[in-house]
Amino acid sequence: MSSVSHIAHETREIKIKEQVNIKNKRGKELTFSLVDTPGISTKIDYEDFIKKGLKKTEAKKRAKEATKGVIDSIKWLDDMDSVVVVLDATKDPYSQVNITIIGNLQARNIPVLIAANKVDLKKANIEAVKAAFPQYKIVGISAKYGKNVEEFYEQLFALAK
Amino acid sequence: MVTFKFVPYHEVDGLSSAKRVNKLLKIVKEDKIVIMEGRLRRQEEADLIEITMEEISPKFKGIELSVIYPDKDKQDAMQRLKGVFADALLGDRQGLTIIGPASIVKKIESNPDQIELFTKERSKKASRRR
Repeated sequence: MSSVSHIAHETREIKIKEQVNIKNKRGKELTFSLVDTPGISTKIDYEDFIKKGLKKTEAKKRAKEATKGVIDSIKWLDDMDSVVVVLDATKDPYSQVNITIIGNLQARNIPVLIAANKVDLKKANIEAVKAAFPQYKIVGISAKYGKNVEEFYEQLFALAK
Repeated sequence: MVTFKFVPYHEVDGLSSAKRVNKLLKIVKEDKIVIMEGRLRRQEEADLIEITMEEISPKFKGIELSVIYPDKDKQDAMQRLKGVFADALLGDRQGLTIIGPASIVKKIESNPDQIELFTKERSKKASRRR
């Protein structure tokens, strides 16, 4: 739903798509509403956006929108039936944000599927993600190349049971 | 210079969640690194991120947060039982919570047994604290 950018916080507002329909290999269908939320962060520095080539006013605006996006994401946690947490498989999975958000979902008894993205990159370490969150099903995907999307859909079916 | 402020558990124990989070954030906004005995509740950690975002400004860029907590898988049954009783009687004072201003703390890396805190370079010489 959201576009890809080399500048962080590209998704800054909640996007909702209703009546999303997916079909698995056996022809079973699943219909759901998809809420795409901005990534959650503990820090946002407008100067980082300037370093990526944005003008100062543009960078400040982006930072303001990004902070609102994080607040909205946290508020939306309460309203979810199931959550797909998308982690970057090339990064340390033990970040406190990951632990806090997944811990909050666990405390709310919300089913979680972890999608470890960017498995097309050499640096990706899906085993580290599995070790960090052994209690959850983890699917390695490459959103960029559509790799392992079938398996991801299968796990969505399992999650929605 | 980096300043650490130790917050013993009894200083936050009686506070409401909102007061607890605000107390810690107030210290961080004074450019100090908080080392708190124990940990926040799950919801309070999320509240801390949310309130931090509300406070972001050109001067305050956010926080770095890390919690070190005893790995319960490595504890024997008696240690786990003691932990349960201690939590029930005294609150969740096991572990340590570290919160630093993002303008000073570059990153905090933690594995179950240690925390490494990297500060931002203020001069050409790298400054690293452990």
